[in-house]
Amino acid sequence: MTAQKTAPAAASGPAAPAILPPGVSAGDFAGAIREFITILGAENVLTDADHLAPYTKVMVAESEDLHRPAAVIMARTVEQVQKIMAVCNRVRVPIWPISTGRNFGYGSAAPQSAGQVILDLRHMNRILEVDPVMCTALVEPGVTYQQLKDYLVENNIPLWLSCPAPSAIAGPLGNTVDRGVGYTPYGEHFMMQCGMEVVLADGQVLRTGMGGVQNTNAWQVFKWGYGPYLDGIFTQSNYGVVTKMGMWLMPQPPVYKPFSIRYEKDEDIHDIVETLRPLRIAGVIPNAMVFANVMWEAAAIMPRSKYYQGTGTTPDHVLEEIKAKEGIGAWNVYAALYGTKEQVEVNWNIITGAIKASGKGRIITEEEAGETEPFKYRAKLMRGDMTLQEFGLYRWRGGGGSMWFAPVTVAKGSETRDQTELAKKILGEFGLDYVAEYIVGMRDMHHIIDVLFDRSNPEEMERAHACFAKLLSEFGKRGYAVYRVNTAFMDQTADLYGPVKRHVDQALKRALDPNGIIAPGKSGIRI
Amino acid sequence: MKFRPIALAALLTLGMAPAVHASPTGVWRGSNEAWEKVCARCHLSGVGPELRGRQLPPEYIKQVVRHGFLAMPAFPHGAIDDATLDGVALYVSKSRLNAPAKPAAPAKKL
Ligand SMILES: Cc1cc2nc3c(=O)[nH]c(=O)nc-3n(C[C@H](O)[C@H](O)[C@H](O)COP(=O)(O)OP(=O)(O)OC[C@H]3O[C@@H](n4cnc5c(N)ncnc54)[C@H](O)[C@@H]3O)c2cc1C
Repeated sequence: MTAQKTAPAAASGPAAPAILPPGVSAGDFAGAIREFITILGAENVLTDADHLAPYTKVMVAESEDLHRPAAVIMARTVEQVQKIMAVCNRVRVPIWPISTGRNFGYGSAAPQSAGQVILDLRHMNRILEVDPVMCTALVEPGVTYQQLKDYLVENNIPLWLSCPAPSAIAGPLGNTVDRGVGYTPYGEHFMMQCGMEVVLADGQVLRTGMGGVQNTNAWQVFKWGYGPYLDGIFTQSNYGVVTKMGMWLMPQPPVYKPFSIRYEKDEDIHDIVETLRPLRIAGVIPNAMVFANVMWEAAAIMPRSKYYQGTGTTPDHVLEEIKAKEGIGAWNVYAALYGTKEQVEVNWNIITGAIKASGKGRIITEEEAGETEPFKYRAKLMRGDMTLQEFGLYRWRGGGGSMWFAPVTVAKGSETRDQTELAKKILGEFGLDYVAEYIVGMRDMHHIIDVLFDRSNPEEMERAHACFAKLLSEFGKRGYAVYRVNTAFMDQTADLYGPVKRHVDQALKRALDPNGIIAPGKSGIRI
Repeated sequence: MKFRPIALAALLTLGMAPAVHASPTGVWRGSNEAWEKVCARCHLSGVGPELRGRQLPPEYIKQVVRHGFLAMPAFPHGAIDDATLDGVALYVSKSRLNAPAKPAAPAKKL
């Protein structure tokens, strides 16, 4: 890619873009670029291959050519975003907004289709407000979890974040508008979101919830406002560009007690769910706990080549050897207790009692685990701390290919057994591994499977693509669908949710963005 | 009580040479911070390869950071500006390896 690149753009003018937005002439696009430069300054309008390269790298099983942006523009203010909308409407330039752009395994920073202009909001990175009394924050899109964490620590504010596993480089706004999840009691991030500011395609600035009320001080404390609740339509969608987001933060508890429970057999997943679901629903276990399988655990500490040099699906006997030698369970539960000493003690007794009564599962406390991984990074995630340890997943097979297959599961033992068997079978047909965890929500679980493959091997990439398509369709036949998906499979996934849903999504799109300039194809939505 | 908005971007770029077409706002207080809070989390924990003590050419390091490489994510200018990246690349290139990278301690057999 670097070989064919044009000279980097200097102050004299932007490099000619390698590709154009569909249906836009070179002349019109050059005109749009000039207008972007007027609005943003030349240093914030990127068209040369060198500067576009970081936005082009994807992990999905498709050529980057299908997701190559025509340009990247970087805004710093709401007014700039409004002006950009005007240009895009006039010239019909599609823009793909990103906040921190770390959507790995879901499409990374690249657009759903080639030729879109990425609107990178990374420089809108002000923490506008942290209210330590109400335990709320208001942030711009470019704020990272690390930045927010540093701010809380430096200002001695005893509040905790809830983050996805790549916490150190991702950000709360991007994660939440894609309805991502974390591992604390606030792990369902969209549930803990409160109030948004959105620039609409026509340039209007909408504040949701209480935000439209003049002089309100309730924007970050009451989610619903009045009339139809709108925040949801700006998540996993393309109806607006979110420029501010309110969120609730968790008071740091006096006592934090992370623990693990190790289970020896694959089929134990049934009893794990049956034993722990009532405790989660009753709030005895308050956080989004995790049930991670042997390969997910192993990947966090070593490449599979340590035990297996072959290709294809990792054989069961190798997994048995890993379990025995590395002390990893077939399933490994991570959960935590938060509260006063007394509260934690009461709940701890309930949990240990339930595990004992179930007749299986071995509890491991923080004291027993010591400094070992993966316990250490799990304990960090369950208190919203910074880590990148889970990138170990990509060392398991190597090659940098990853797509999350993440079907929603009803938190019932029988259903987890069915989904696990089905996923393992299909992945096996394609020579891939079942690297999985269940993240437990309030009633549901996100069954997260990392479809890992060698992206440098075209044959394996093709296989991974076919595998993912089959996972979607076979799960779909049984009434299962994913909660979120990568840019290569957005239409196939939208179909699973039915024609009426697709029609309503499209009607909203036509009403709010009649020229279809914002992120065409996101979640399968176009005008 | 409410805290005043902070503009990290404005505070943190002081002292950095402006580079042509570089991201004008740095989000890092310096190369050390970027190394510690991002790179080191993988490259000192055994998740990513050990880089220290290999005299890797700074140009090569920068190329990999900007383009990514297999599992290594690509970092755009908004995430790390050229000046900070120059510093990181120089540091890594000149680093010595006193102790081998500490691979993550495996789970204890309990
Ligand atoms: C090892 C590993 C583990 C992971 N674990 C988790 C996990 O535990 N939980 C989880 O949720 N994810 C996880 N991920 C996936 C992903 O990395 C995170 O969800 C990450 O938070 C998303 O990137 P981001 O925060 O930078 O958001 P962005 O990439 O900025 O945004 C995500 C998407 O939201 C939309 N969007 C962003 N900003 C706006 C805006 N301002 N207006 C309108 N639309 C917008 C865009 O479609 C964008 O593609 C993991 C990834 C890896 C590699």
